[in-house]
Amino acid sequence: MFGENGRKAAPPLTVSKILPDTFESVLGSESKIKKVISSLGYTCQSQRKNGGLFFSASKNKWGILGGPLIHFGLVLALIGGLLTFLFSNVREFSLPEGETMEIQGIPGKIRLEKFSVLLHPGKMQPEEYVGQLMIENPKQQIERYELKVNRPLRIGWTKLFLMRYHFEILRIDVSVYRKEKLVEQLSLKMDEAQKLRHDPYEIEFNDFVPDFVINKEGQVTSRSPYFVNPAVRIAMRPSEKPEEKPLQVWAFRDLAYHQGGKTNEWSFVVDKIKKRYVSGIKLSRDPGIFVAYAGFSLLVLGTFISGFVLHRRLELYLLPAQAGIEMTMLGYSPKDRTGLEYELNRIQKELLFLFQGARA
Amino acid sequence: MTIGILTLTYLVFGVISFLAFASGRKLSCILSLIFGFIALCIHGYEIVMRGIESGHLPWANTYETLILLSFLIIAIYFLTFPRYKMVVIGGFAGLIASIILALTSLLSSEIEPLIPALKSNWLLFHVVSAFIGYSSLALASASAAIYLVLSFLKRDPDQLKYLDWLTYRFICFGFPFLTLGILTGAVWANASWGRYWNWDPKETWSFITWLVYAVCLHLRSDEQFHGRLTAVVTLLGFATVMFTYFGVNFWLSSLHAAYA
Repeated sequence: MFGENGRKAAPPLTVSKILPDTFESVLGSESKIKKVISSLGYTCQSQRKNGGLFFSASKNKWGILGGPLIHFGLVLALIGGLLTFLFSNVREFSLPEGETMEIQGIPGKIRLEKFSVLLHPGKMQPEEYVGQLMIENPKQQIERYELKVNRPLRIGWTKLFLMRYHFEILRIDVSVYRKEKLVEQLSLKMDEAQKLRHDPYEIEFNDFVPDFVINKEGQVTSRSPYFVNPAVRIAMRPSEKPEEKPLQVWAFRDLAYHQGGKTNEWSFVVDKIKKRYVSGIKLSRDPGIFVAYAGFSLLVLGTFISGFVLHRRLELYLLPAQAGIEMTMLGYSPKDRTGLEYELNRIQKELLFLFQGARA
Repeated sequence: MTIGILTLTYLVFGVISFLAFASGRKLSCILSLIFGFIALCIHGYEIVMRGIESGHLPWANTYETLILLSFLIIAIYFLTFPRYKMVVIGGFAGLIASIILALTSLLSSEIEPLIPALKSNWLLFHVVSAFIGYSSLALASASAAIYLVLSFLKRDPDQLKYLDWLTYRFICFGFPFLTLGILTGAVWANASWGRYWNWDPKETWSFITWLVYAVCLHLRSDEQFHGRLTAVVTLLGFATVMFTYFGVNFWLSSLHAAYA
C-alpha cells in the first residue's frame, strides 16, 4: 500500500491483451519471452502458477537509493555549512613584503620575503602570482614555501591561500630641473610636501600610475595594473601660498619630457621608485568542510542515480483463456511512469510480434 | 570566419529540422541529421584546434564557453536522438546554437593566455560538467516550449505526452551534471579562495537554478502537475540558467566576472 518513501504507492500500470495463440506454444516460448523482457535490462524469472505462466522481472534495484541519497546529501551539506558557520576560522590579512607577523592560528611567525607578478612573455597578462613565505616555527626552525593561486599551503589543520595584492609606494627619488638645469634631488613620500632648498616652492607627489600610456588627448592613462612603465604626478606650488592652485605634471622614469609634452620652466625626472607589494593572504581552518564534502559526494551520486538509474518492476501473467492467452502486465515504478508505460507498450508489441510471428 | 559559417549552418540545420517535423518526411529528417552532424564535426574540430593553438583547455573565457555551449547542445541532441527520435528538438537546438554562436561576434575572439586563477585541473571538470548540464537543460526548455506551443494548438495528446516526458528526461540528464558543475565549482573555490561557498552572485544564482529544477523534478512526482505547469517551470529554470551564465557577469559584481 505504501511505497519506499512512506507515501501511498502509485497503482501499478496495467496492460491487458488477449494473445491469439495456444497456451502450449507459450510454454514453448518461455525462454523467448524472457529474452524480450531481458533485452530492456530486466532480470527476469519465470514460474508456473495457478495453471498459467508468471514472469517476474526487475531492474536497477538500487535506483531507489537516488532520492534518499540526494536528500541526505543536501542535509549533510547544510550541516557542513552550519559547522563552517559556527566553528570555522576564515580570515584575510595583508602581509607586506619584508614584514614578519605572528598570526593567530599558525604556530610561529610568518614573513613575506618576496612577492612577484610574473607576466606571460610578450603579453600584459599575468602568468603567475608568487608569494615567497618564510615560516619560523616555535622551535625556531625556518621553512620556506611558495604560495600561488590555486595552490594553498597547509600548516596542520590550517590552510593559507594567496589572495588579492596591491603595492605601496614607499618613496620616490625625483630630480628637479629648472630651465633644463638640475637644481635639486629630493626623496618624496606620497602626499607629503617638501620644500625646495634654493627656491620658494614646495613639491609633493599625489598620484601614481604603474603602467602609463599617453592617450589621444595627450593625457596620462593607465594601461595595466602591472608595474611596468610607472608615472608619478607631481604637484608644485609656492611655499608661501599653499592655497594656490598647484602646477601639476606627470613625471616619468629617466625621461624629462615625454614625446609631445610641453616644455615648462620646471620639469621633473623620477630617478627611483621604492615600492613594495602587499599580499592578501587568507587563512582558513574549517572543520565543516569534510561534512560538506561528504554531503556534496552524496548529492552528486544521488542525482546521477536518480537521473540515470530508474528502478522498475514488472509482472507478466499469461493465462489460458477461451480465445487464446490472456496476457496481463503490471509495471511498478516509483517515478517516470510515462517511461515505464512506453516500456510496457514496447514489451507488449514485441510479445505480440513473437506470437503472431510464431503462428505465421 | 568558421564561426560565422557554423552559425549559418546551424540555422539551416534548425530550419530543415523544423520542416522535417512539419512534413513528417523521412528524407527531410535524414537530410537534417546529415547536415547537423557535418556542422557538429567541424565545430568539434574548431574547438580542438583552438585548444591546441592556445595550449590550454579552450573554455577559459566567455567567448570560448559560448562556442563550447553551442557544441554541447548539438552534441547532446545527436547523442539522444537514436533514443528519443524527436527531430523538432533538433530545430530548436539548431536555432539556440545559432543564436549562441552569433553572440560570440560581440566578444573578442583573440586567444588569451590562461590567468593564474584558471590554472587548475578543476577547469576541466567544473566547466564541462556545468555546460553539459546547461546544454541538456537548453534542450529541455526547447522541448517544453514545443509542448506549450502544441498544447495551445491542441495537437495530438500522445505527441504532447511524449514531449512532456522528453522534457523530463532532458532535465534528468542535465540536473546531475548541473549539480556536479556547482559542487566541483565549490571544491575549486575552496582550493582557490579558501571557502567552498562565498555567496558570490554566480554561486547564489546557480543555487537558485538548481532549486528551480529540483522543484520541477518534484512536480513530476504527481501526475496532476504534468504538462503546462512543468513546462512553464522548465522555461523559468532555463531563464535562471541564462541569468546565471550571462546576467551575473554583466549586471552583478562577481568573482567570476574576470573569466566566464
